[in-house]
Amino acid sequence: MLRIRSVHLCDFGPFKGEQRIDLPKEDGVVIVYGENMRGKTTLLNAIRYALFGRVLTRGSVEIQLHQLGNWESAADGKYGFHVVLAFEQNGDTYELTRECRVRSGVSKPASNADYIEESFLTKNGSAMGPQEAVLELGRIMPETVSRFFLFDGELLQQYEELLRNESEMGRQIKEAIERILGVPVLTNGRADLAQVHKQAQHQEAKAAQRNQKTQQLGNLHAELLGQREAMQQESARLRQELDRLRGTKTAKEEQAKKQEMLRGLLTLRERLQEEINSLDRKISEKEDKRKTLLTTAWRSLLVPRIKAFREHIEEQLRVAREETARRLIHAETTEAIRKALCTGSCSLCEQPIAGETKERLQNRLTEFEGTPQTAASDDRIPSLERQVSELRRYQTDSSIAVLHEISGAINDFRVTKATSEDRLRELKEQTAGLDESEVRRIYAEYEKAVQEIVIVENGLKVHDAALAEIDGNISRIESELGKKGGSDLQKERKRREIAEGLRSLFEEGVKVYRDHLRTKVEKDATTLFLDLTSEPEYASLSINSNYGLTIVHKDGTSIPVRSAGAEHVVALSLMGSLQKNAPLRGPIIMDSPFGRLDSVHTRKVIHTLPNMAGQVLLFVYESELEPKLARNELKGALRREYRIERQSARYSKVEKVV
Amino acid sequence: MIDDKKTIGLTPENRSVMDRIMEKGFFREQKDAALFAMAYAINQGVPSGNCEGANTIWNVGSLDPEGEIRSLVGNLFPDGVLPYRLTEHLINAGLALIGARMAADPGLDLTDFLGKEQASFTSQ
Amino acid sequence: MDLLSTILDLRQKQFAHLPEDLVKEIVRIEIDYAEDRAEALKRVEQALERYLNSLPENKTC
Repeated sequence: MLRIRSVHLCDFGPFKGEQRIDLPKEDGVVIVYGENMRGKTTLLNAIRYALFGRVLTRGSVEIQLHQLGNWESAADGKYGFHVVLAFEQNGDTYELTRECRVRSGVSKPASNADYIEESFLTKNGSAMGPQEAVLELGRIMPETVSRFFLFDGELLQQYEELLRNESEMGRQIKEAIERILGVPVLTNGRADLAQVHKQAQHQEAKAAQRNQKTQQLGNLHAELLGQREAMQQESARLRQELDRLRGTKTAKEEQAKKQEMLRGLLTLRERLQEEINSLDRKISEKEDKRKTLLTTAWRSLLVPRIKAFREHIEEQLRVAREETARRLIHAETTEAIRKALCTGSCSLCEQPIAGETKERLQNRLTEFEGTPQTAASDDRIPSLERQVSELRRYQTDSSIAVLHEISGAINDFRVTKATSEDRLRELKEQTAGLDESEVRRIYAEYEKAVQEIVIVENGLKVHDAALAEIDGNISRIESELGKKGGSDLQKERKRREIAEGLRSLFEEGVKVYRDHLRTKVEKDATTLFLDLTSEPEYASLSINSNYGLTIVHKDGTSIPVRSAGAEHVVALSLMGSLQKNAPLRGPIIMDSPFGRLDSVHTRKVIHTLPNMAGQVLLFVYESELEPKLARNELKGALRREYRIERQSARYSKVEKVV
Repeated sequence: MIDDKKTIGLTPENRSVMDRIMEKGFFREQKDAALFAMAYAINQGVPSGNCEGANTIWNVGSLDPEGEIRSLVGNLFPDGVLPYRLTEHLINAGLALIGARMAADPGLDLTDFLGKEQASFTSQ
Repeated sequence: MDLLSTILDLRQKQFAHLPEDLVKEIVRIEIDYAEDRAEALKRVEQALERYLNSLPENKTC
């Protein structure tokens, strides 16, 4: 197990001059207290820097080396820094030094280029060569698994990625977990034995070719092996391509997610523009129709007036006709009376008229002749009739209602268009300066990746089927060789059979070990989780193929979404479980691990820490973890306390608490 | 005897009104607007009259190819004013009325001139 | 159950014809040379060769 003995810094971050933290030999917890901005994270970074030569910010962004030196020392003209990490593993002691010093000739460094970086590793007091040191460190603490030992409480969201099967981050973390659990021992073994098996098959084929009895079979064997080799290479290429495409698809999906809002805005913009164009077309059509109607609208406007006027003329005509009729009757009657008086007899019945009747008729005649007649209106009648006839020609269906309707529709379209234009203007302002072509490119690339994935997957299926057929043929030939081959082939056959067996063993071993590990990790994580959580209705943790853990309620259902605090507890459970199950054991070093936890959970975590790893190093601030609480909960497991004291804004000092 | 007009025109002021109406995009041609103005004037009860100071725009043959307007105006206003002279008067009067309304309310729509309001008919 | 015991257990149950010592040696090689794949492959080949040469039928006088 890896155990850190001391961390020695010089002018690293706020730690001016030579400063040191010593860790005890015994298992237990060491706590370093420090307020915000005093350098707690820098201490974690010092260990990371020593081991891997890199320092990360909160957002996992690498910090430039020339920014790491102490500013007060730099102000005094002293540049550069170094870190020395002393540790032991499996009985060997190591001292790892990594330093960054100014190049000769540079008086005031301004960038990484002005520095030289060097590192060296001693093992049991003897310096190791550079290549050897790299291999040794890679074996002791591979960087890919460091996140499970160097735990930054601010980076919890990484662990949530394990729940998302296809995320790139999730895949990387899964690989890191499997690495720490030793799975690569078996997957590498499987790969190596596959290679050994392949070579053994070739050797067997060559031996068969050398023997006359088995030459033909040997030739066929060699040919098939050659074909299979080519097909396997092609399969590997296709699989690599598929991985690449899947990676592209996932990356584009993630990029697209970030761009989703922009895409939504762009789509809306396009839609609005189409709407506006459509409205323009509709308005134009309606306006055209209106113009056509307005060519003759003056008639419609005048319809009521013409009708009223015509009716007036018709009335005049009627009156004129009546008058004419009356005059005619009057004239005829007067004439008939005159004639009767003159002839002395009625023109109708031819009876003689005398006496009273004659007198009456005479009076009547006088009366008629005395009645004034209106002026003859006969000559007006044709004119009136002509007018009526002309006015009737103007009878037309009124287009006024239709014009109202069309104008109403145009106005409605205009209002809608104005609203859309306004919204479009807003959107254009929102999206001004945003790279639209980038969004389109991302989506186009995503679509392309999806299509290509389908093609490659189909290609792989066909390929794998062909490979399986060739494998079958190869097996048949090897079986034949086994029957026909003599003692000269025996060794090669034995080699092949053993290699094949070993390959199958390791292949099966990978599956069994993975299943076993997941079960174990799930079980140990559950045990830890139930110790850490205060929620009585949580029954267990459930693991997925990526080692992502879901909380399971006692009714059997999963808790789909969890708070940052719950995430914290689950992540700690995973870390503790990995520590228990990994062949690679080491300290747990945590920066601000309790930030999101309440006092109940903080107490539970503190209590459980000594069970999670042999050596635990915590960087905390006092309101996050009260010293009194830590001492009460840890008791004898608390080995040492340090405090980072402020000397100035740019100078912190690590003091041991007595 | 005075001959009726052979051309019909607009006063400079009514020419401006015509331009403003055409800008609104309701009418395809100016003569459509002119006849509309004439009808509007008739409906508003504009009496018979004469227009001075009009500059020729149309030939009566292009404005009234079938003689329909001549006949109609002659019928509606049988007071002896020559039909095309009267038509010119009515067109200008109508444009003046429309122009005055547009000046008072620039947001007026065409439909505001399509209303049912009309002067009651009186004997000519 | 750790990695080695998992693989040995599997060997016993399903691949009993494979030699236990050879399996242990290969696991050891893969642990020690996890970062040097070329070296790991070479040593696995050598381990197999040594085993084959140790078999009575392959021993030469």
